[in-house]
Amino acid sequence: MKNLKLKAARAGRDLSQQQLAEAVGVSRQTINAIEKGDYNPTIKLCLAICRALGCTLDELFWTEEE
Amino acid sequence: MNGKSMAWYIGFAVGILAVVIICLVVRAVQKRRGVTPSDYDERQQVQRGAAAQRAFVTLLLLLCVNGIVSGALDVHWAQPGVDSFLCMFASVAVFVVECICRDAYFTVSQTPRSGITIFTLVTLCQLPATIMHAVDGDFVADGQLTLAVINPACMVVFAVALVAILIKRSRDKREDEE
Repeated sequence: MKNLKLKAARAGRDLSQQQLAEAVGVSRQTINAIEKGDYNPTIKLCLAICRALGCTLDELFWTEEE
Repeated sequence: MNGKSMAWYIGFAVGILAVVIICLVVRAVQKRRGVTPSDYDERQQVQRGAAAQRAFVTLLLLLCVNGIVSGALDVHWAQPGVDSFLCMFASVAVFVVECICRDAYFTVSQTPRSGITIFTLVTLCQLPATIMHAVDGDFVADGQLTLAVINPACMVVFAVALVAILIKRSRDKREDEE
């Protein structure tokens, strides 16, 4: 499932995938894979992304049950 | 052991020694720059694990097939040792190509450019020996592949990896533009 919240938060801060990747110490492809829903990050990486974007885990990674 | 095969074994030993020295030098330079082998991010580590698993299964399958062909069917298609080397090369190729395709070959701080340079150099280094063996007709003796095929096999592995990097690079560029 695509993570559109992350994509929106990143775009809202005018950051490219590469810039966010550098901020959290991963490759651009990893950020791309998370946004596309191809990779489920560990809680450690989720927290690093949240800190880099100034968001909470809920705001970026919580999904309501369908 | 005749003079020619002695020279081949010496060349083989020198080649391995050269690779070890190059690896140590690269490692020392990386250490000085603060790059460690664990510079793969968590997704890359997962992908590398999966690639290693596939390479291992490939190696097992090839060794099984080779064992059946040479043991049970009594078809000896390569000299002792050469068959194992070729199976290993195929397995390594699976690992490298899989890693490249899943963006897990280069560390976070590495760029594909360094890989392109190294792979091109290694591919080209194998070319003179391959041509020399081809001219001498060393590849097959008594209906079996000889140690001389190691050079072209090595060249093929690196060439395949090089092509994989170039294809991946152009795909990534297209993705970036989108």
